Amino acid sequence: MENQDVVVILDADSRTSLSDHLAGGIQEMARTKGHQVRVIELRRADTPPCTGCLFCLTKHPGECVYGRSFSGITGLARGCRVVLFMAPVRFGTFSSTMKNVIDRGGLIITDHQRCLQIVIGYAEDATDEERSTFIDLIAKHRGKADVVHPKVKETIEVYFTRCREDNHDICERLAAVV
Amino acid sequence: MKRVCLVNGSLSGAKASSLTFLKRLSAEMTPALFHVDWVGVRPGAGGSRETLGAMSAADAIVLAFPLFSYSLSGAVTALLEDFHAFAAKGGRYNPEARVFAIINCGFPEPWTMRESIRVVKNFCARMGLRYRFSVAVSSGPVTAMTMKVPLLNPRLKRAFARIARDILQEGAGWQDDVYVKPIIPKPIILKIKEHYEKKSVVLSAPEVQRR
Repeated sequence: MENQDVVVILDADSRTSLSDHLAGGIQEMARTKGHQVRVIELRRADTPPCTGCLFCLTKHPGECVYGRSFSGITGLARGCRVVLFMAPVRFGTFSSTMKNVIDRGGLIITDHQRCLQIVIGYAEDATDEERSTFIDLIAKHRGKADVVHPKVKETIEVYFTRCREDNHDICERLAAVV
Repeated sequence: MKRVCLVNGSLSGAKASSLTFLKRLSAEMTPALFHVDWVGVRPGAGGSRETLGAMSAADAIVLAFPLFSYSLSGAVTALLEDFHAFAAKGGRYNPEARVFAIINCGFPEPWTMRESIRVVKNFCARMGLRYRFSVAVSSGPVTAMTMKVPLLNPRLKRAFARIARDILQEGAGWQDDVYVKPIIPKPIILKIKEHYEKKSVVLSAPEVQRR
């Protein structure tokens, strides 16, 4: 993957010093490798909850009945080589704002044949069980559930950070795959 | 009398399976023993003052929601976030409140909901609430449609009765989560799923056929 765009999707309402440190490290790493980096900042007020109507999964891939910000996100993400979700973790799952995107097929709307999807969960105070829950959740998206969407098998990388040392490790590991 | 807060975590309106299950559960709660508050998630909002008030005053909270991407939907997550924030800011709530979850999904295997149950447990641990048990209902819409049919879904109906009993029992011991399998055989459900996937533009693209 050379000179291809990297899209970073983050929850602007849940930025912390840890997430800022990680976002900075990722952008520096990606730019060093010649990638163009786009950052999409989500806000709760602009990301209404998904109703589960399946509009975005059926006849209108990537589009949302709500329109607004979501269509813009999929437009930017489509065609990119790497989409990276920086997800604040609440109780072992995505924050509500990030989940509103994930619920709209956020993990399957992009072109999986060419697009590497990466999810990084972060929470300084996450318990071991919350960390484990989050990783297991993403593992299901990777095809370990009984019935999964066929498109997502083995296309999602998942990491978790609770401190700056974790951030350094993640950036080193990402440098090998991005 | 026990005060119970029933939370409808679906945005599908009157036809929501979660709402059907809550209505069936409420039938187990006689007015002489239970005071029931009904609240729900809303588009574009997390927990309203009314919703958080009902949750904080409850002796028991029952969260009913559909599985979205193997976990709680963004709307339900927002509600839990808001309740947690409310508590963190010093809002008063009942730390002895018992928490139950009724989760449903379209998948034929109820084990698919294990992680969402863990999220509810993690929420309870954060809040210091008393997690009791969850009821995971596979093929939720079909199960909801057949709830009124006599002799069908006995395991689910027993689970609802168990929730009502548990709320009344002081010091009840550990309870296992309940996993409810569909009344329709799994191969038929998978056929139905394949039928709908063929209609899906995203999932039916030639390069993404099931391996």
